[in-house]
Amino acid sequence: MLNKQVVFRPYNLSSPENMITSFTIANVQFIDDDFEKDIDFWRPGISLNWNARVELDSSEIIQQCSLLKSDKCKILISIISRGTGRTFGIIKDIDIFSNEKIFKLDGKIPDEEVSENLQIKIQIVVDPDLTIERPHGSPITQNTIILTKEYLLVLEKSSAYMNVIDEDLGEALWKFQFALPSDPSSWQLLEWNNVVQITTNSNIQEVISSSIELQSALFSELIINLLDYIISIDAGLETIVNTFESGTFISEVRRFSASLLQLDEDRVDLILRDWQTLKLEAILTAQSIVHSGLTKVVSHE
Amino acid sequence: MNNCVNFRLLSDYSNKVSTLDELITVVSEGNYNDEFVRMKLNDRDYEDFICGVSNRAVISNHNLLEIRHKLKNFIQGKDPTTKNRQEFDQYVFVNSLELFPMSVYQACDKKVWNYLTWYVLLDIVAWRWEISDVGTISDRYVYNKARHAFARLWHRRETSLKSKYGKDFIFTEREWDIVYERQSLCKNPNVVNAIMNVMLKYKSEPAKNIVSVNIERAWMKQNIRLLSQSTFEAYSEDQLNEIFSDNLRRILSTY
Repeated sequence: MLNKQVVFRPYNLSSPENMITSFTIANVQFIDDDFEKDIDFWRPGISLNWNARVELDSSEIIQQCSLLKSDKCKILISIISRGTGRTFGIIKDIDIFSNEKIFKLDGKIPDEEVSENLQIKIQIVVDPDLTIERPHGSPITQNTIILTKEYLLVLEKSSAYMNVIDEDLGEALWKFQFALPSDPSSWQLLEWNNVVQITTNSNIQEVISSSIELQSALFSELIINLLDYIISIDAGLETIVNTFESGTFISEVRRFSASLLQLDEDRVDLILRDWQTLKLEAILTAQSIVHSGLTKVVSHE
Repeated sequence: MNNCVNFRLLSDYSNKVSTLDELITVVSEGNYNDEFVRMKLNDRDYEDFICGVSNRAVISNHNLLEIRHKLKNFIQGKDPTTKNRQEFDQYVFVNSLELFPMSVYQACDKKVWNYLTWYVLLDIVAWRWEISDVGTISDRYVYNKARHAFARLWHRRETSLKSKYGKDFIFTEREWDIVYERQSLCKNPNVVNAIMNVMLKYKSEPAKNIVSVNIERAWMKQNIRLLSQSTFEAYSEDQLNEIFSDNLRRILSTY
């Protein structure tokens, strides 16, 4: 009786375990089976240096893809920016039949050429020698891809990190501390961590971390308090409306201000004038938005 | 593009339909002129806003008016005839990187182009693309890489200058569309340039009409078929030139 597991591979492909990769870009490292990571300091004005280390199990690849000595193998690294639709690539010829197993490549993406995220592909391509008869299972078209590893670097991430510490706050549930520079022109560089510190009451910390209702109340209050604070700074609200760089803090404040207050340039004066009245309505809207957001997150888990 | 200016501080007003309708009325009544634009720009002076995250100089009202004057001077006294409009496109295409000195990052931001279109250059856009229907507005007045009045020319020029043959690229809208309407092809400048270069060569053979829908579709299908086992990034521009040229020759021989 045949007792053997047969693994079918798509035609011309080698098994992924024959390539171990490590890719570092702007100090973010992807190792082999990693897939998605984000970067919290990316700005359009930053150029991104990258380097890759590719380790191949050459003998397995040669056998699985029926490669011939006269075939030309290459390592191809392509980096595709979703936001700008621009692709960067580098290609290096390798001799897969030599004893060399480890290959290193590096490069640089100029500033202001990418946005949103980077899809990174590390591939082995083969330019087969078509002047001789090809064995079964071997590549028969120019630059056939036989191995691919993919990573994703999120430049403009959708999650934010905030400092949360526990303290005995007596009867209070939580406390917020904000630290925004008085000169709004420097706000573009800020992350949430630089601006907000949340202290939760250590006596009920467990309750807070498990209750969606309390978390909704916490985040809604945080948002309203933050807006209160921004409005108290000269030209603070105008800066939120008028700044279009993609810093995490400022872009997110702008986004939720637009949802809560329909904040745009034409409404700045009105919001500044009627803030105390608008605030009550904004608290309710914030609670509703935050609560549905948190419910969604929890249900996904 | 070392002399890039930071356009990213321009805000996008164009999502408000009522505002856009008002601006279209101003244009159709002939009141969208330098004075009107200056007044709009003075509502906010962009020089007040210092951009802390880029080394680029920041766009100013003066820069914006300068762009307007250059384009306005070009169409001064010219009727919007087909020939004049083509000449205008050619002028903008050749000079686009100087007229709009921005980085790729900025040029892919809809806010930037939408602001320029609606608040600085709307009468010029209306001269080039008459406001006849909603389709024209969404195609030519609102940012998209393939069709926007100015952005499409900027992207074509920026990409073509990466090619050694790019300075000779003079094509009709229809010919450019063959590539730019297919988003999977225009991510890699080598691919765009190789296709345009093959078209340039075949333009001298008027007996064969490459832009006939059947030929164009068959040719692009062949080119894209390359991706079934490979990737465009594995080829140099010259290799792609050769492959695309062979594909076209083969297809033309069957027609």
